[in-house]
Amino acid sequence: MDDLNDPKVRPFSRAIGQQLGLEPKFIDFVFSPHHHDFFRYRVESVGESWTAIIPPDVSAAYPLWSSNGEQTLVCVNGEGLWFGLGWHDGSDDPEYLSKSVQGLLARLFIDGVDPSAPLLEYEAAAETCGFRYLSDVVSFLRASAGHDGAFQEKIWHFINEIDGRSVGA
Amino acid sequence: MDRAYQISWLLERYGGLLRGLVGVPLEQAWLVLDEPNMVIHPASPIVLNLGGTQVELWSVYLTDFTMTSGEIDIRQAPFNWNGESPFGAAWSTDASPLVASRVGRVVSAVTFLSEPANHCRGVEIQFFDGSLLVVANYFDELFLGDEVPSDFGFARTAVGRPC
Repeated sequence: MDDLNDPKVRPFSRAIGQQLGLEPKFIDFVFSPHHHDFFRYRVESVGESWTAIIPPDVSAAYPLWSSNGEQTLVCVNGEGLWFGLGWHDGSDDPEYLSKSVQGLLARLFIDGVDPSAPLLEYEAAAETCGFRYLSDVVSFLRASAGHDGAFQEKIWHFINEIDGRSVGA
Repeated sequence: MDRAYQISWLLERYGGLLRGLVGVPLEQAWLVLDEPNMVIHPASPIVLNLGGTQVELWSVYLTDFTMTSGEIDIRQAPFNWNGESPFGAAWSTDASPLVASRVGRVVSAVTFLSEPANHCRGVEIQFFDGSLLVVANYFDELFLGDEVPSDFGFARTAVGRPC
């Protein structure tokens, strides 16, 4: 799949993750051969995936995992890091997901948590990846019940808040 | 001054390449070792492989400094003459412990150093862990350091990070 990747997509390694200052628990999670069932279909090996386009303002992109052939990336440029979702088809730039690891994980949990289920059900999954804001996610989802038209905007605000609390923490 | 030593020309020629190094690791670094005397040959370039991009940093004459990219075939002996180096020089990855220690680190910024204005004297490569690799020409001496000595009086022009 390497030849289908934009040339700026490079293999991620533990050493790269450490250099970029990613949380050790998160790096362990990325390289774990088996993930908690909560992550099934959403956190898979990058082996069968690729990202066709990396924009000019990103100098390097490292795939962390894939889902349905799309890669979740850590993108690097002169201003620092951000996390994005790269597309294997088309000519669209990766979609911005978050500024921080915790923001990225918050998105995974927003997508997977049933807010009516007990928190306990997700604690083991959160522990495996070092996610610290599970109760915030559940509170957010409960408060946003109904998923009205502003839900995506609410997610943006929520992720920005998590980023603000966790970047440099 | 030859344009190859001017910051403005270097930015125009290599600015995009250098900005593209942010986020990639220093994979290998070579210096020319004068093996009979076991010293670094200071008039030879330091060659860096940064994420597959080869960058050659040159100290030239008394105070000039410039760079090239992909111009040197590291498989050939330095000063190659019929397949050999005429005075026993060889490419070395461990001639400088400082340089060797930077291998594997990921670049976060690149900065040109100048004195006087627009006259390139060196390059500072910053890594995500906060460490630096400084390569400069300090009056005909190839300077390799982990910081820019303040008494050098160099001005700084950021390349790999928006100014």
